[in-house]
Formats: sequence, C-alpha cells, structure tokens
Amino acid sequence: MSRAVGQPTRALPDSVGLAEFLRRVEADPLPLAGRYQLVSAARVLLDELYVHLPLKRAMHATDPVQRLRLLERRLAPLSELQFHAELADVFRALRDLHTVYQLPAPYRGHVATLGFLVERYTDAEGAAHHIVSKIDRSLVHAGFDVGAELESWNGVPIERAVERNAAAQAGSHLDARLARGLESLTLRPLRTAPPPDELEVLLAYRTRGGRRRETRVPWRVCAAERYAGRAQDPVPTLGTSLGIDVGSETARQVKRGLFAPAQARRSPPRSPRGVLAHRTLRLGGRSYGYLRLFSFNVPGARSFAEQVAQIAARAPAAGLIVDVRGNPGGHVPAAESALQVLSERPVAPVSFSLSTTRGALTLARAHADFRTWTSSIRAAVETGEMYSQGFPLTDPQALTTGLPRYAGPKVLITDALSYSAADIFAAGFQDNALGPVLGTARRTGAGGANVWTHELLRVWLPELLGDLPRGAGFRVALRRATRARGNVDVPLEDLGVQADALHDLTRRDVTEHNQDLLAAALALLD
Amino acid sequence: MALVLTGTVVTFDEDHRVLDPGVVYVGDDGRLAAVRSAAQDAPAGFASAPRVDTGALILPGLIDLHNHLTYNTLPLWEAAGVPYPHHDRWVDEDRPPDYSTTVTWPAKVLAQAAPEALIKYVEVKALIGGTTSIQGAPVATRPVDGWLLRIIDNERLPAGRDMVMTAALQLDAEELREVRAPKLDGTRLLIYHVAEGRAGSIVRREFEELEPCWRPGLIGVHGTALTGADFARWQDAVRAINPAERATLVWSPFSNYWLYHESTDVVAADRKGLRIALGSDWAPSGTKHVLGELKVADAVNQHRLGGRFSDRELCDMVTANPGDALATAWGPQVGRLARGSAADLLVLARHAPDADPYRNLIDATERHVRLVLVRGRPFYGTPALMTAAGATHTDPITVAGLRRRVAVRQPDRADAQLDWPGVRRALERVRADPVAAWRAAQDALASWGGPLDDPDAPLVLFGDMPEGDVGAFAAAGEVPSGLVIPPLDTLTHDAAFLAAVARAGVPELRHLAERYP
Repeated sequence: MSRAVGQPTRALPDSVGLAEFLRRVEADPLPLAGRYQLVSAARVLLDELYVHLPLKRAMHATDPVQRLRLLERRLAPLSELQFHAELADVFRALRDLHTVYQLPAPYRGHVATLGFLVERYTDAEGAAHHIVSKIDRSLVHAGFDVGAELESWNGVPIERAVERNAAAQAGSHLDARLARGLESLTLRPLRTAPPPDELEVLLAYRTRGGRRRETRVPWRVCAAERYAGRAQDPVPTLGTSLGIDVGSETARQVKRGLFAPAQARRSPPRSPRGVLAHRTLRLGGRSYGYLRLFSFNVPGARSFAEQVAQIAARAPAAGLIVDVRGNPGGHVPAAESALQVLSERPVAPVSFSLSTTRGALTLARAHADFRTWTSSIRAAVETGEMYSQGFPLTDPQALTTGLPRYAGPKVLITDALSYSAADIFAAGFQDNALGPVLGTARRTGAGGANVWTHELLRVWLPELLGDLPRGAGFRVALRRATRARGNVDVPLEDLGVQADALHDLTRRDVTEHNQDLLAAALALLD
Repeated sequence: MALVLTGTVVTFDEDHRVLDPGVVYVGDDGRLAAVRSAAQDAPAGFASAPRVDTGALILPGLIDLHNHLTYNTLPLWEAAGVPYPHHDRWVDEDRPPDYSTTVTWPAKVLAQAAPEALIKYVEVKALIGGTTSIQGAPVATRPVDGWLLRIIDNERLPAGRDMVMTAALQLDAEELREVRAPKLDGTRLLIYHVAEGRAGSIVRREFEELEPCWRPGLIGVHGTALTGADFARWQDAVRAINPAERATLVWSPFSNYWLYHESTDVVAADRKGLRIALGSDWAPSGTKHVLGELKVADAVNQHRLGGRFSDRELCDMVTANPGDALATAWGPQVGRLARGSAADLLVLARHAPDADPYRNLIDATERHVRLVLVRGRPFYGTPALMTAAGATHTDPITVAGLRRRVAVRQPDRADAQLDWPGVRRALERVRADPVAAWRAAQDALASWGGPLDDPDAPLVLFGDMPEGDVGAFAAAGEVPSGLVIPPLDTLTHDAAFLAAVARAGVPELRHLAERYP
C-alpha cells in the first residue's frame, strides 16, 4: 500500500525557492569573456602557485591544468550552470578543500539548504543509521523532527545516497568525503559548488515513534554572510596565515544561524563565543574540563590564545577534553598558539613549503614575508626539488609569552571534518605528546596547507594574475604543511592525523549531547 | 576649472625658453591649453577664466622619480653600521636603533591602521617641496591614486591603463628576461632598483641580470656600484633599439651618502649620454622632498664633481629629464611646459632677483613655494594664491613659520574624506597606542570577506622595502607589545633634521645646512 507523501506547511524563513534563485541566475549569465578570464586565471594559479599539484597528479591521477586547457576550447556552448559545474569539478577532482573555485555573484554569499541536518551513527551490530539531528521549527511536520530516522533519499536507500553524495565531494580520503557527503545532503554553500540538481527531495523516514512516512522537502536558498549590506565570504579575503575549508566554515556559520540557541546566535561568528565554548563535566565524583573549539577562524593569534589560556587556567586539574570535531580550520598561528598554552613544554610548530615554480619565486621575491623561502626556491633549478625548504609560519612560544600553561592531562577529540588549521592543531597535539587523540573517524580531514585568495595573490603578482569577473574568486593551497618532531617532514595533505583511539558515534551521542563519546574520552584521561 | 597664471614662465621646453612675462593657460581637462608670452593673445575659451597674477616663477611641478611612500612619516634612521657595503646589509642591522624596530614595524602599523592618513601626510610633505609627481607607491589592495599628487606607479595617463612597472626588490633573472623585458616595447616603463651599494660590491651583478631589460623604458634607480663601462653598455643597448632614446638613471645622492658614504658616478653616466633624474628616496635615509634633494645634488656637483652640471642641467633632473622618461609611457609631458602638457605647476618666489630662474629653484626652500597645482587643481599654496586659483575645502597649515593652505579633503571622493587636521589626528591616534590600533585594523581585515575593489573594502598598504627580522609576529598578524612609533617626521628640512645630518658627519652632506639658514 502506498503511503501519502507529506510536505512542510511552511517555508524556511528568510529564504527563496531554488527555482526562483535559478531564474535570477539565468536572467543575467556570465559573459563569455568572463568565462575565459576565469579559466585562464585558474590555469595560471594551479600551474604556477598550487603547491600540491605534483602530489595530486600522482595520488589522484588527475591533470587539472590539461582539463582547464580542454575546457577553454569548448566554453561557448556550455550553459551558465554547466560552465560553473565544469570549472568547479576541475577543482573538486583535486580532492583539496583549500583549493576551490568560488562562484561569482549571485552565488557568492548564498547557501542552498533543506533546513535540517542529518547525523550518522552505527549500532552494536555495525549497521549505519541516519538521524535528523537539527531542524528548523518551521519544517517540523508529520513526525519529521529531531530523532526521525531517514531510510531513503529520492528513492535511493539512504546509505547509498550518502555514498553517492560523498563521491561528489572534494575530501581527500574516504572518511572525509563521507562526512562531507552527509553534511552536503542538506546544506550546500553555492560559493563553492553549483546548486543542487533537484528542486526538492523525497524522503522516506521513521518517526521517533517508529511510524514510516514520506515527505517532500524543497531546497531553499538563503543569504549566508553579509557585511555592510554586501554578500561576503565568511573567511577574510586578506588572510595570509589561513588554513581553512571555506565551504565548511560557511556551513558552520549557516548551521549556527539556523540551529544554535538564540543566545549563541547573537555573538558574531568570529568572536570568542562564536568559535569556542567550555564547561565542566562531572564523572565518578571528579571534575574535568571540556573545551570545544568550533573554528580557528579568528582575527589574531594572541587574543585567541589569551582566551584559551583563561579557560584552561580555570579548568579542573584532573583533565581537559579538547574537541575539534567539525572545526574547518582558520588562523594557523592562532591554532598553534592555542596548542602552546595547553602545553607546559615548547611546542614544535609545523613547517610550510612553497612549490618551486617561477610563479612561487616571483611571489617570494616580491613579498617580504617570504624572504626565508626564496633561496631554496631559486636553488631548485639545480637541485630539482619540487618543494622549497620548510619553515614554520611563526613561533608559538613567542606569541604566548606571559600566558599560563595548562599542566593537567589532556585528550583531543577529532573527526573527519577537522580540517587544515584543525589538522595542524591535531598534528601538534600528537607530535608534541600533549595526550591521546580520540577520533570519531580514523583520520582527520587531511588538509595540510596555508591557503591564499586569488585577490590577495594579485596584489603581489599583478603581472601574472588578472581581474576576475563579478566577484568570482579562487583559493589556492600556497604552502604545504609538514609535521614536526617524530613525524618530521610527513605531509598532512591527504594523510591527516591518525587517531590513537577510535569511537563510533552512538545514538546517544547523536541525540543526547555526545554522552558516550565524552565517556570514552574521559576513560583515556584516567 | 580653466585658469590663467601669469608670471615668469620657465618652460623647460626643448629650447628652455623663459617667458618673462609669460602666461600659462590651464584647461578644464587638467592639461595646458597654451604657454605664451604675455604679449600674445589668449587662446579661445579663456576670456572669462580666472586670472592669477603670481608675480613669481612658474615652473613645471617637480618630479620625484625615486621614493617609498609608506615610510615617509619616519625620521632619519641613524643606523649604527654605516657605511654599509650594499642594500642587503642594513636590512639585517640588529644593533640599536635596529632596522625592524625603527623602520619596518612603525611603517607597517601606520600603513595598516591609518592608510589614508599615511599617504596624505607624505603627499603633503612632498607638495610642500613643490612635488607634483612621485614614485614609490606602496603595494596596496587597491591602487592609491589621485588623491593629491600623481603617483607615478599607479598613474593612468593617458589611456586609462597603468603603464608603469616598479620593483624596489630585485626580481629573479628569469622573470626579468622572460616576463618584464618583452613588456618594454616602447610604451611601458620599468622603474627598477639596481646595483645599490658601494663600488665593487656584489650588487653589481644585479646589473648583469638586468641586461635583457636594457631597453627604452627602463629607469634604473641608484646604480651606485656601476662604472662608466656599465653605463656605456646600457646606453648602447638602448640606442641600438631606438637611436632617439636614452637610458635613464635616478640619482639619490643624500640616501647614497647616508647609507654607503658613496654615490653614483653620475659624471660617467652623463658622459655616456644617460638621462639623469633625481629621487629623494625614503625618509629613513632621504631628504624631505626632491627640492631638498636638488640642493644635495648641487652641493655634490660643486664640491665633488667640479661643477660638471650647469644649474639648468641640475634643474632638468627634477623636471624635463624625468618628464621625458615618463613620456615613454604617458604621452602628455609632466616635466616641460608646453601646449598639451599636464597642468602640474609649481609657482615659486623669485627670491634671488639677480640670479637666473634655475639658481632660484636650486636655492629655494619650503618658504619659497607659493602655489602647487596638480592636474590643474590647486592643492597647496599661500592663502591668497590658493583663493585666487579657486581652491576649495582647504585647511590652514604652518610651514617654516609661514601660513599656507592645503586641500587634502576631496568631497567628491568617498575614499578621500580626511582633512589635514584629520590626517594628523588619525596618525597620532595610532602613535598613542600602536598595539590597540594594530589589533583594531586586524579585526577589520578579518571581517572583510568581499572583493578588494569594493569601495567599502579596507585599504591595506604594504611596504615595498625588505622587512628585516620581524620575528614570529609578522606572519601571525601580531605586533611586538612594546612597539614605539616615532613622532611624525617634520615637513621641512628643519633644525632637527639638520642636526641629525651633522651627527652623521658625512662630508658630502654637511653643505645641506648652509642651504637652510
């Protein structure tokens, strides 16, 4: 017997339908000249400055530069959406969330969302379950609410739907792609990927009470980030020491806007309240600290380290759980300075290398910050090295002078969405022996680079990089990160940080504030 | 606004005519409609134009072909290790007053925390010395262009395109050969620091690496380590491409003597036929403006070069010569007064009536500058002349004890709203608490995720000089906690400046004090 298909009775607030958004897009397509500008700029950027190009060519058997040459030859017949999809796909195939094509206006500053989130856990038998973990109250209907379990997605069994969606993600290993596949089921930043193909999604689900139902939920488009009335990226255009997945940061901020408690929503996303939280946990008569680092997307290293040091100084001496799950990265020196105030000993920071191309050399000669990298890039003509010598971006000890250090035992919780500066934080945690790393996935997100925008690079390389149309952009991994101490020279890109212990999320974790996960972490502290 | 200026017109044209009395007709388009003797009729369209009888010398505005604007609020850097062998050595100076604390950090903080105020302050400082075009724009998130002076690096004369490439740091040989040289096609310029150091030092090799660029359009800055043979090769290479062209060398004698106790062999360069222009270089080792630099050149000419250069030839170094060099890219002349030239003008008191106009220019100090127009607009001058020339939105300013007015604010530009008191206040606020100002600037930068060409995007300036040891802080977006920004460099060659020069004890520079009684 077929079931009646429901649908939400109200639309997501402050949003427009996807069809309406697409009509606006197609009414004013990017001119052909703009397409040529973008493809040409992408080619120069990847060929001359993308530090992981040799690695990606080898590891993923992809040649993005050749793909761009081919794309350049057949630009005219492509539709607006086909063009953006093709160009975005060249970057997606790099499996590098740092290095992305950023679509122009009107995609910039917008996300497509279904208005709810899905999380995944495995039961005692190893079977995967996909639960609605957050939902905008306007969409609750017919038992479709937090705790509902999804069974199929547009007629495809949910497990397979997640896998298919994961395959379309840029994460550098399977865990990372699966995590992103899950997140992007319901949330798609349009700045870094074209809009969903379907206007609505047909879902089969079980209510918390166990009743089977179907519903259609429409994709809606809402503004992700605005500043002074203008669409913005959630990450600074001008940051020189960033390691971040912009797409995930956008998703984080949108999730925060949609689902965080009203009080939390009031603080700006990059303020201390927007990027970290802390509380005290009690177990077996003892107290432990819990420090949640949502993001390292902060303005400066010192002020962030001061915040972390203050929290750590008040944390119980029995131990501190540091949780960087879902942290998309951010300001690398801020991450390393935070690490330093959690360690009594000097922390050895990760090192960064540039590629040894002519473009990298021109940049190094033009920009005083790259002075130390110049000679080894120059020498590459004779040495044949693909990468320059590696140097730290900064000295965390110098940046945290005078701040207290937390001396108690620590454990770090990671997942496959802990990316870039969070990868670097986790690597530092492990390499400097701050404590065990407990993963909800085997590895962190595996983004090992310092990323720059095309616009910022253009300030220094005006002869190499030209204008881009309508606020389109690129972000590129410019310096690759390699680990320190016992893992010296081991790259983070594509490898990430292997967890010392693994915890599969349970239903209690998904629906009851990570209770089993925190218990597992505390067990490692004792 | 059309404008007519009468006075003694020192044209610096091909015949170096002096029209006494003469008339300069400034068109609405910021160009000169005519330059004529007072006896001739006015061109059409000027019958009702305001007429300003200057009673003074009217010259092309002065051109400073070598500077680094980001650093020009700083005082002279009295470095411990002088004379240095070459430009890579003082960068690593770590004895007090060390380079990064004294030069890099103060400039960096001012450039990020008060960029508009910084540029306007240094523009006013240059205007006071009669400068109308200046080289040395900071690297910036959008071109700093057209507030007061013509910023040579960013100027878009005539076709709306930036035709001037600049590099204060040395480029790689491959970049010079394969990227820059092909662009020197007779329409573009490359202003390039080369061989800055003592004779025989290692930096001479930079000149060899530059060989592919020995073409019309190359303007070499310093060349202190070069020999007559080098100049001959350079000039021959340029002439081989275009016999009508000349190689251009920028001479900054004050800075050279300050840092290296030597200067460029300009006599050899002149003998080989090179075109020589002056640049005052940055404030940590330079004069306040190119009018001051002209006096240093004159003193060196008299005391070290046996008077090789005539007064007129010295004056050509700040007018016609750089104007000719820039004409390769720009078309309209900025260094010679003729029909079609840019209306960049300096009105100067004829303070020594018995001397010719060129000696008057050489000996002039800030006190003698009466009016400065850029693009035909009055930006600085005596209250009477500024009013007569139709200046609006002006502020009072005291220069060498004299009352002057300066037009800093441009009501028609959203990015040029600071007036002169506002400029000073903004800079002093940063000085008062550099760490807080820096952090506020970093917060503003971190908040901006939009395009950099958006009018609301923060303007950020980056120095174009090497940074030295800025330690762990720079890359982390932090600033040393005890940072002190020195008082703003004064606007004139005053007693404090001359005292610092005297302390340096460099013989070639001691004559400067005689020119500022």
